[in-house]
Amino acid sequence: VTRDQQFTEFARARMPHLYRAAWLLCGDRHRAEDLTQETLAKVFAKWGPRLENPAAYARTTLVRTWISHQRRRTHHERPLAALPESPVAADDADLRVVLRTALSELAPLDRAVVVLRYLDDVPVDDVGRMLGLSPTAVRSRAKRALAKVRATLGDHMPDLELTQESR
Amino acid sequence: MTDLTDVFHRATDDLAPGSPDLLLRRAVRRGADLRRRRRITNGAVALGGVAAACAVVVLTIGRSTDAAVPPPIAEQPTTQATVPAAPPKPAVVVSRHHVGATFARIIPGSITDEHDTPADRVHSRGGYESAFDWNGHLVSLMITPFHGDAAQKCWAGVGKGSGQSCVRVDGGWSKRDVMMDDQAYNRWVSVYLDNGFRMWVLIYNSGSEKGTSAGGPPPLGVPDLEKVATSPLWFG
Repeated sequence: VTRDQQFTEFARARMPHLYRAAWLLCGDRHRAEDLTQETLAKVFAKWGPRLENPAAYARTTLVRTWISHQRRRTHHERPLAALPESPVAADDADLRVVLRTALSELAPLDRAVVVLRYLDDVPVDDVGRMLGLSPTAVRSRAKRALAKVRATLGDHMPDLELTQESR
Repeated sequence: MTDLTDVFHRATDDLAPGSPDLLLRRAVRRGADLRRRRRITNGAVALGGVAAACAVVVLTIGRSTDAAVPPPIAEQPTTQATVPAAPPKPAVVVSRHHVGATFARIIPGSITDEHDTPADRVHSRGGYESAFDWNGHLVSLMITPFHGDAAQKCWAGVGKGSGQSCVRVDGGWSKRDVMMDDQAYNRWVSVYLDNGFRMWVLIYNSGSEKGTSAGGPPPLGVPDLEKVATSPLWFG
């Protein structure tokens, strides 16, 4: 098995997950595809025996690339002026609309913290290392972000109870 | 795991790229491009390393040969910029056995009793220290390479509250000490050159290493010694 074949196997296996994380960060399918593609390209460039944990490297690359893009963008994503009418929580497509709205109200770093903590269940210390934050900063950002997300989601999904960040 | 984890999964589980194969192909193509650029960058860095190694070799050869002036193999000195951005390091072209003669080309005088100073701490870093008598006054001159920015290097060696400071001179940064111009027995300068070499020049008020209380002040002032330290004659 060649090095490129190994990478292709890895990429095929991890792409769906990376894409989902990318979507949660970008809130947009096309930008999520671009982000996933750029992440995989960077992993490919680094691919080799010295890359001990490609999945973790890909995750870190994805988040850092996105944050880097956010800093470079001249205009920032804005929350929707008004939420779509009558979102229905039971429908996944509507859930996505509400979720995207809730996440778009977060600062980029808070959004990255939330995605890493709650999609991938990455430990606080590791999130801190990935984003250059102290564990305390990660916890406080996660708590603050969770409260915001809860406020937005809760309005439209009253049956949803989000537990507090405790780890 | 919190309920948000469940929300995330519910909202995204059926999400997938439009064309995973196309995405993968593009990623591989872009990744190969990144890899190629990285190799080119690494190659350039390695070439820089080789050039630096050549400079050290020339310095070492200069130390061990009696040749009057070894041929310069490194690039010509770069123009002296106010804030140099990692300029290529030139080579020292003066062998340690001809430091006195070069000194006398800069500050005319008669050179006698030139000898090498066996200072391992200097030699191990690819530099040398040489001592000789100039008009009967003992002079010591040390050339050592350093890494990094000259100004930063100079200021890093300035002790807080020591009365020392760094000033910009032609081609580098000179460490100033309130004592160095008042010393009765000796006077010295320490200049971090923009080309990556530190020049340390010291002159005693007599022919002995400790100087003499009857010798009066050293015959050369700080500007003279800085003129020696910043002379382009040392480098090729």
